[in-house]
Amino acid sequence: MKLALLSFFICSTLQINAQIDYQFVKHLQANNLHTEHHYYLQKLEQQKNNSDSVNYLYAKLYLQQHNDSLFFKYYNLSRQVFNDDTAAIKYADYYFLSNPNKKLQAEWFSQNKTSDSIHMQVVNFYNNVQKKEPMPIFMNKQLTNDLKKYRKLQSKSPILAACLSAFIPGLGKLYGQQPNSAAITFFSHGIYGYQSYESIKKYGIKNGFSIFSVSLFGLFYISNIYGSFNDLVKLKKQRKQQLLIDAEKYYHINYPASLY
Amino acid sequence: MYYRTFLAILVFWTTHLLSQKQSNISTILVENNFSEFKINEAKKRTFLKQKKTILTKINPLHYISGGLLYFYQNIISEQIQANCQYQISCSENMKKEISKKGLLIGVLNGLDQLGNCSGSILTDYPDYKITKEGKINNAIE
Repeated sequence: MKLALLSFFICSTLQINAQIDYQFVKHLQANNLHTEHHYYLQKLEQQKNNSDSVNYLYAKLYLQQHNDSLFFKYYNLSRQVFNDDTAAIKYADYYFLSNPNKKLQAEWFSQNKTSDSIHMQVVNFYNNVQKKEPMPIFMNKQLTNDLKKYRKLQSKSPILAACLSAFIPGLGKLYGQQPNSAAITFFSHGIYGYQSYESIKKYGIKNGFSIFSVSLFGLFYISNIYGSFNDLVKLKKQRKQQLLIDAEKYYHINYPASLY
Repeated sequence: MYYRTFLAILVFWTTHLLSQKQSNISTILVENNFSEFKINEAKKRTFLKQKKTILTKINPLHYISGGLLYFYQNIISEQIQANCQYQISCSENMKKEISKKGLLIGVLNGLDQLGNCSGSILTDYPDYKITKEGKINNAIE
């Protein structure tokens, strides 16, 4: 009887020691005690108990530290447990929306993790920014309008922008949704062009000043064609990034989620 | 009666404007710490760095463009106190682009930036590209 009682006592003590103290983890996180947090998780790992939960805590720690590669490693090891935590999923959603690493972003939003409506909306929004799917109705009108504008920009061709700029300097920039830049380019090229025309008219084409002004105008003219092409390519990427940043801000403000 | 009302409005607005001015002065006074003014040292402008290939070594245009840029950055730019709308100025950006993408692309990019440099173009760029100083972040991506 005594032996049985002793063995029960030892077993229960071991069990208690092996359990994860979530309150303690929360305390470590709240006070940004990352080294201690890591050490505690390492100790739990050494006890080889409930490895799924430990991996889940590791994933949360690396998500908080923005260590993307290690987060994915531990997320994949504790997928089931992590997906049950709606707050953590939301936190990761907001984080990956504005993440500059496109590969990891695509990996995270590749599938719905839970049936939570906000999560599904975020995934839907991301997929709509990536592909030309039928336009959904989001909760926020501003986001929907921005997405419409972005889609319009996406359908524009950089080669056509370059051709338009060759036809009339600045027209390609106007086509690429840069009206102010278009106006400046048009007026500056107008002045360069007129000045070249005047110098040719006054001094003749063989004059040194005429050659200089025509060459300068030519250089600016070619740079305007190249700039229209290049700006549209860059602007497409930048507007996409801005859209995702706006979505991250919107969801984060309206549907906040703490990691712990 | 009409004259008196007009006078009252005039007095009200004058005092209102004066109070505005007063508060502006007080905020400026509060914001100033009266510490010794330090002039920021001018950035060191280096000569154009290029890929060490045979083509760049024998091409005289690379040396001419590098020399012109060095001359502009160290002599002309210092004198005209140029205040660029971009975080990286057109000459500095041209230098970086030449060393990264080659002479032709670099020169075209730099000239395009120079042609676009105006205060109104800020609205053409997404918000996240505008820095706290109100300049366009044009770091090479």
